[in-house]
Amino acid sequence: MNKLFDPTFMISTVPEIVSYLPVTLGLAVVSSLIGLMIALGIALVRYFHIRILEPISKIYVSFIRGTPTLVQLFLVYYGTPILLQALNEQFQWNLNVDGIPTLVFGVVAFSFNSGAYMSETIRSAMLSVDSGQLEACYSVNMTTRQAMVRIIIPQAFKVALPPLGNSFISMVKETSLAFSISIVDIMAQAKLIGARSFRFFEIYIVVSLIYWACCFVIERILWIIERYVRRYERDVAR
Amino acid sequence: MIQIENLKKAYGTNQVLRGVSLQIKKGEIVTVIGPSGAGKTTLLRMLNWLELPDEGTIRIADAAIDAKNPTKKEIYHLRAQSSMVFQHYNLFHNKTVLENVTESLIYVKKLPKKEADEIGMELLRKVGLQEKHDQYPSRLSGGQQQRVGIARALAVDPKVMLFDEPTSALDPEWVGEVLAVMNQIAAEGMTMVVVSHEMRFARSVSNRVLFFDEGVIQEDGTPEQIFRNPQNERTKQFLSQACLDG
Repeated sequence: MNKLFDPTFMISTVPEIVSYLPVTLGLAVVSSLIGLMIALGIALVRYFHIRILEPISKIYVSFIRGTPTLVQLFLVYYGTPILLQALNEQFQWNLNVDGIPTLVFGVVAFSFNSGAYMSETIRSAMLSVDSGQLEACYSVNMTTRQAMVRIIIPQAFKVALPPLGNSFISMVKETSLAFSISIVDIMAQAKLIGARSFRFFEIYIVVSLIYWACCFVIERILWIIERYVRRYERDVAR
Repeated sequence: MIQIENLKKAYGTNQVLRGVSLQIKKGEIVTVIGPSGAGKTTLLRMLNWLELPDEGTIRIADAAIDAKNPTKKEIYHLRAQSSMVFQHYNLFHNKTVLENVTESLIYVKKLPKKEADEIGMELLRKVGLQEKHDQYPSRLSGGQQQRVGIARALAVDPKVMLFDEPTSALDPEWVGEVLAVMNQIAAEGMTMVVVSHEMRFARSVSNRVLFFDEGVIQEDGTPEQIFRNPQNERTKQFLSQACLDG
């Protein structure tokens, strides 16, 4: 009666798992967007060699790259209550850690994580823009800010897009770690169903296919965006 | 129009400019010639404050700046007096031909887009490229890109135009079209400072030639004087070489 492999069971679990897809994708999208802001800030600090902030940025990037994402998740998860407690005692505030949804811890940890990686991508992309472009901006009296916003960053973005897409796809998959701080995403739901039915193999096939399908769609979207941002380049016969 | 006093610049121990002083009057078309690495380009770039002098003062029209303590405001004011045409064009890759020209009109002079576009099209007509207005620079030939570069520099409405070897990256067949545009601008009375290996331009269009070598102006005179009757030994040597090629 116990089948070795049960395809019908697999199909029946799909809706239940997919219903948590918004958590996975939401976590990835929001974290990547916040991460992108952090990354841009860090990249600018390092591009312009801003004093004091530059060494801090370097330490931050080094720390994030040098520690496992899982550890960072735990640091945020266990560290935030202690931090809030300390702030409460210091300033007689009344911040309540229980008021914060667990999802927020995930977003914070993943944002800082992706921000560090993406900052290196953006910085190297900015350095790849020919210095003649900045000179041309200055020669027509643009301010540094205008030059960055209108000329340098758009050109850097074109270079940065493929590796940023890479980071985003990695982020979609890394959110599966969120289960360890009790966020229920598709991975967590898969584990729960697996524990209920003891059909772990089937359920992990289902969840892997869902991840793959998501990433496939993201790849296509990135390809369309990339084609658009490269519209001003000349085609070369290869 | 331009007044430079005692400009000095060193890269490490390499003295590129050894105290250059120079005056240029309104409407003068000055060609700076000299061997590579003599500091011609460095001098030109300083006029647009793309390169920081170690010492000295620069005055263009009513803008004055001292290398010792330049303020942001002084720098922008000085830059606003002149505009630069680059050896490698440096067109904004992510902007169309028209946008390259109107960028400064819209974002620096804050003109409404419609008005900026009209001025931009007028300038493109002047350099003969109005039909290319919606193309990206990567689709243009070198000569066309440089003409856009000139239109972009004109859009600033500068008092002085600076040309940094504007034809030396171009194929011989494209040099003519760029020089034609430069002749036209010269004929309209623009003050121009041109760093060039283009002896034709130096001879036929400019009314003053500077021979620059070893970080100083070695000889300063009319094209007639410099080319027919150079006084300085270095000038003679250089011209006998250069005129074999040109």
